[in-house]
Formats: sequence, structure tokens, C-alpha cells
Amino acid sequence: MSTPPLYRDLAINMRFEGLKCKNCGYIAYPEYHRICLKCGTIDQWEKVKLTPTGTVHTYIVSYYLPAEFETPLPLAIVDLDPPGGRIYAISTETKAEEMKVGLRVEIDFREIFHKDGLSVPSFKFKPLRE
Amino acid sequence: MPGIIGYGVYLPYYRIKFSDIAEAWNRKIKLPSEKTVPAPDETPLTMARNAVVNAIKHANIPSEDIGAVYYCSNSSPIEGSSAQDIAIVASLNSDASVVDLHSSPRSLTTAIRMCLDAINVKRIKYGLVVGADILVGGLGTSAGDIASEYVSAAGAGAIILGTDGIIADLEEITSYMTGMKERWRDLKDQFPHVGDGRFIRDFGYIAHVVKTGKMLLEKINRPIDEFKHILLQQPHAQWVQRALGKLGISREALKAKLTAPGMHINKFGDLGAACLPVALAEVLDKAQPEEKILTISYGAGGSDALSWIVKSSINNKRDRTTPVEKFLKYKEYVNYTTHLKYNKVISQFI
Repeated sequence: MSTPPLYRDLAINMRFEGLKCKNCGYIAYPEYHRICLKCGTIDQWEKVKLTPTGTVHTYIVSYYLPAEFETPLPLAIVDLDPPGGRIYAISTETKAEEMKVGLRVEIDFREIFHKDGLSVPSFKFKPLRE
Repeated sequence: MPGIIGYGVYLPYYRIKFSDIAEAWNRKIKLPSEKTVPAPDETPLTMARNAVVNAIKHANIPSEDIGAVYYCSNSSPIEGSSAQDIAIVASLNSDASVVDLHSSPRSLTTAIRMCLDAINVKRIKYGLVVGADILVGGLGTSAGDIASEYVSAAGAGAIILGTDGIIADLEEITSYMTGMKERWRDLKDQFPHVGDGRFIRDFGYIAHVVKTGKMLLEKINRPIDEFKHILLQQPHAQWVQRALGKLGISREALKAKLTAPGMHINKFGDLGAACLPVALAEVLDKAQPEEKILTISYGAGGSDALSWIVKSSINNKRDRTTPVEKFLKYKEYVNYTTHLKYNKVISQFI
């Protein structure tokens, strides 16, 4: 397994933090760019802690995936609660029939893949249970 | 003396009933017991991270002020520090000490001792002790055994120790060690080996837990009746019951103790290194100031007893952490095959 990408993405995979554009307030996560995708400002970012709850903006259900994934697997774009941000994530502990636009979800820290004995965790979503 | 300033737990969503495990092996068990089953993407590290996030929120301190992480697990990778991963996910400073402790559920109380020493000599301000385990029992093992597939379970608990904003003061601590072998697992072993049943119960768990507990009571000159909560390491329900009896709990009081908060072997199973922090959390969720708590750990041939006194500041921190009750409320049962698959005993892809 190649470890440089794991090291470079360590903070992205391990901390639920985004970058907020100081000019327009756009929140970037998980990709960190130099240029703001919304207003074009360059290198004007500040770290911001993201809220681990949100609402499903849209979703798909994947039925045919590599063997290590348990299918059917819902994947969704989630609008995070304030301060905001939007993530594309795979689900965990979620049934396909539970999925709907507007579903309240929480972000959880889970293993994304396991290769050569190394577990790589990051963030997934699941229905908010409360 | 430092004490607990915050705590957090995490328990998996999935459960299996003892009766469903028994049925798979053509046995009948009427006990209404169940245990946690980890989801296929849960690891000791992911569970520990969630417990730690809850603990830091509860302690209400900046995570940069935590100077050390003590990560305790019997089921985490042999090489590759999980304590470092915890330090990263919790956004600790790069100069924080990171310590991985393995081999015994007792490592949790050993970690508490190490953390207290570091705070007492003012090397660190706050210390984070976290226990996380995914224990997997041997196939077809008996419900009467420890480390069986009936009790081996998953969970995580974290506590933060410090000297300001204490919610439970550590009054005293004692240790006792004989080096007895009880359960062991070689690198090539998928499941733990266990010594002779009644021998390791009577001369192992019960002898050590009772000896350490009595040593502590003598040291602080306090009868056991003064402790409202007695939390023992919970490898098996009947073992705990016998040990409580030998510690001097009357037969009438014993029944209440076995269903009291913190007694979770029949609800969550054997949580290994996470047993005591989860038990402590369940008690502290509802504890009142001045209540006394006795915790006794046990891990093959050694035991630590700790006496805690709940402080009034606990009331200021209520509702800041996810209570154990929430993990009891939200759950989904899985069948025996799914339990094996999720525990990675059988391949997920056959």
C-alpha cells in the first residue's frame, strides 16, 4: 500500500475539519484547493470545525460494487448543519429503503477500507437516531 | 489528587441475543442476555475516536491542553500506534505523549495510574485514558466460559483526568498481582485460549478481585456498604456475582447490584478494556454528589481497585455527553450468521 497519500490526507481523513474562505464564507471539504470554488479568491482560508449532523441533499443507492462493500449501499450528498459545508459520503448502518431527500443524518468515523493489514478510517453518514 | 473531569462512551448499534447464538449450536438458553456486535466497518480505533470526542465535549476543555493519550486495547493492531491516531483525531498538540497498552483489560487501570503520576508531577495538565476492544470468542464455546462467543463483545470508553473541574475524585488506589495465566492469544491465533474454567474463576478472577478490593477497603478504612456503586471487571455474569458475594455484599443487596447501573455484562457483553469506563459512565450519568464508587479491574493475574467520590461539579456537566442510556435504546438485532460476518470470523464475500 502506498503511504504518502495517507500521510498527506491524514488531517482530512481523521478530523472533521474544513476550510472556510475568508472572502465569501464557502466551506471546502474534503478537497482543499488554493482557489475558492465560489468566489475565486486565492489562498484565503481558515480552518473550521464542521458539525457532524446534516440533511441529505440527494442520494443514490449502489447495488454493484467491489466485494468489500456490503450492498445495497446508499451514497449521498449531505448539507451539513451550520457553519455549513457539503460532503459526498457513503453510508453505514443505513438501509436503502430508509433513504430520502431531507433525511436527517449524522456523520460517523468508520473504516473506509482495509488493505495489507492497514485500516484506513474516515467519515461516513448514518441516520440520526434520537 | 487528580480525578475524572470528563468521560464519553461509544457502543455499536448492532446486538445479538444469547438465545440466537445458542440456537445455532442446538442449545437452549433462556437468559434474556444480549451483547454488542460491531458493524463491519467498526474497529477499536473508530469506536475509541467516538468515545474520545464525547469525553472532550463533556470535559469542556481545549483538546490542545491534553498532554498525554493512553490507549488500551487487546484487539488493536500489534504494530502501528493507535494512541497516535487518537491524538490526531482529537487534535492534540504534536508534543503530547502517546502510549499504547495491550495484553490485558487491566491495562485501563494501569493507564489511569500512569496518567495520575504524570499529572501529579505536573508533566501534563490533563490526560486522556481510552479503552476500546472488539473481542471475538471461539466458535461453539460454552455460555459458561469466559471469552466465549456468548460474551465477547465490542465497545469503547474514554475518561479525561485532571485537577480542575473534577466530577469524581480519586480517593485511593491499590494493586495486586500474582502472574497467573488465565487467557492468552498468540499472533497466529484467531481466538483466545482460556485456562481451566473453575480454577481460573476461583483462583484467578475472584481471588484477585476480592483481595485487591479488601486491600483498598482496609487502606481507606471504609466498609463496603458505604459504596453505593461497585463496578467490577465483567468477563462473565456469574463470576461477578460470586466476587460481589465474597466482597461482603449481602444476599439481599446482591440482587439489586446485579441489575444496577454499570452492570452491563448481560446488556453489552464483555467489553474488555472498555468495561470499566463504560460502567463508570453509566453510573456517573446519574450519580449524585458525595456518592462513592468502587471500581476493580482484572486481567490475567492482576487487579487494581480504585475508590472514587462524586463531586458537586458533576451537575454542571450533565447533558454534555451522550449517555449510556442512548446506546441501550437504539439498537438492531442481527442473526448468528451476520454476527459471524460482522466479527470477520467468516468471509464477508462468500
